[in-house]
Amino acid sequence: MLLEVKNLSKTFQLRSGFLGRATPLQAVSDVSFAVHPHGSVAIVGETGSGKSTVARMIVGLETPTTGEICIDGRQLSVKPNLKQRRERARQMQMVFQNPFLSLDARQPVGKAIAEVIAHHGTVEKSKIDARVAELLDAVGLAERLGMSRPRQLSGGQCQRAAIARALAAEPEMLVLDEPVSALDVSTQAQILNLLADLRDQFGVGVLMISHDLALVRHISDDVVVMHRGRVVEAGTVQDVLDSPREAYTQQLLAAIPERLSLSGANN
Amino acid sequence: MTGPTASNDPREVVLALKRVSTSLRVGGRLRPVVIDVDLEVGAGEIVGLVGESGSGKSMTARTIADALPPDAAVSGEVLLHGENLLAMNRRRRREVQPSIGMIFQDPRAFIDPLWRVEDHLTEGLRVHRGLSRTEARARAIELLNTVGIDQPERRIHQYPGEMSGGMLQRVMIAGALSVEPAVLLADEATTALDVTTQAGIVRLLDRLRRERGLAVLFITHDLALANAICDRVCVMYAGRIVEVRGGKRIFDDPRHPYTMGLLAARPKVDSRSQRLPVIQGTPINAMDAPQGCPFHPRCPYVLPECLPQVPPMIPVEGGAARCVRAEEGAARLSASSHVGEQTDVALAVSEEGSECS
Repeated sequence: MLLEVKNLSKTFQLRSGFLGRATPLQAVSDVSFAVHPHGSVAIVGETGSGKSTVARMIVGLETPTTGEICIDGRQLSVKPNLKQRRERARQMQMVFQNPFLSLDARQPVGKAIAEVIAHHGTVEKSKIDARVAELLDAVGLAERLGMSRPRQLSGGQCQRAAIARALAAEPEMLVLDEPVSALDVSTQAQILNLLADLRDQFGVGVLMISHDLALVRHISDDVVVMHRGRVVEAGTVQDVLDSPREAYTQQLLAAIPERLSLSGANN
Repeated sequence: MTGPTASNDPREVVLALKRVSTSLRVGGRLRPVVIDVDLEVGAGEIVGLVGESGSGKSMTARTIADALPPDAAVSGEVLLHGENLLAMNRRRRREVQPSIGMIFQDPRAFIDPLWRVEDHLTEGLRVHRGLSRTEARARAIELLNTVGIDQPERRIHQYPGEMSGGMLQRVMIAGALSVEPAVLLADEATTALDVTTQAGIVRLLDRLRRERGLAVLFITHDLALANAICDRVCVMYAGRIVEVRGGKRIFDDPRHPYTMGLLAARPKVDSRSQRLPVIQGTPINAMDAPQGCPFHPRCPYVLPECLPQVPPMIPVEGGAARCVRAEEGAARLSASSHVGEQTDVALAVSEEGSECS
């Protein structure tokens, strides 16, 4: 297994007011799933379902309260040292929803990519520029756009740069958090096709966090449906989307615009 | 130019735009953002305005709501019950302002976090309607009931921070309804919400237009959503309306290549396609539009006659489309396309694309 998550839970301590007593909020309870090498899994759910917290624990932005995360069969340490954190960052890279926020506004995107390459030492120093050009090309950006700062790029170009930066570490797995929901519809399709190509070309596994079931159908092989911190249904995309067993999944499917039925509209 | 309405009963036209153009001052020069928009919304109708970033859909709403920057220039007519808002004096404009309600994508950006729900809902009632505090509070509780909020007596004392996004959007709608507007402009009002919450808000708007005869202009980037709730959908590109269709025709039988491209580019929830058909390049603003049809550099079906001037709206079943090939339909167009010739032009454009949202 590329990624295995076992009985993962996270409890946040919420304080109300200054010096207020902490009340526990169980954001994630007992979540388990796995991603095969080259596999593609989606976690779907609504606000507060805990889907982003799961992703953040996997990449190490949050510490699990209980449970295990294993990459390539090796369990990740709960309190990793610098070396372990670097190792995890090389194995797994995350692409966020809004590339204008996830990239440094003052840094040319090519520099951001070069920085990641240098940090992980994936190629020799003298070959970094060539590797940056290669990565820009892989995501469909002209080499000269590496000199641009995020605000000089369109949303789609900027997300391409963010994907190139994630690939710079030569990860085995990409974690995508709502990768296209901040983009225009016509740009979304370009990025989705790019992600499909990159999956073939680089053989990376993909864990995607999304609320968009059509997107899940398009990108993922398996899907985990979360609601209030728990997994309510999991299985292949085909099984879950074509014949959902749980009431919550059925409710989600019925609410998407293509299936929304209103009494008053359209004659 | 809005074409025939979806149903046959001629409803009273509440809001009408006639050849409305809006320009903003950018770097000392007036640049167009909305060009020649014609549009009608009848009582009890929901009309969709669909477009990508830079299409001018929000600027159209802001033109109607008089919420443009002070140095903007507007021409044409914005008629509310036949009266031109653009020709009114300041006093009359303020009098009719409450007739136009507006809700936005992010309610938290428009609601004062230090105001309780009650303060927010009663302000308009006390200022515009002259109600006393007790009367206004009773009316506010009634409004919260109308928009489907449970326990309004308790909720009215809460602050925005104590409410979820969906509930807060309901409060915003209640606020807009408090002064009994004739028109509601909903600018991406459900975009930030979860799908199930979105469905709830959309059902609420649908109920309000039926029960109150509210005229709703529903602005969204989501063609599927507009198709689900609107009587008529207008698609905008580079500041212009490029297609207007009634009923589900925009979805079932689009006639403008841009609309076709938008529909094809969305992944489908029912079936998996290996590759999504993309519209090459990036969406453009009205101010960057080339001569001729603004969509021609990205259009797979471009002809020499698309280049000299902007095509007129050509009537098609249930509406009109701004395309010289509007009568052909998707099947005939794709059978006749010369995709190879087109991609070089389109790719050159995508390289140059530097639009920021």
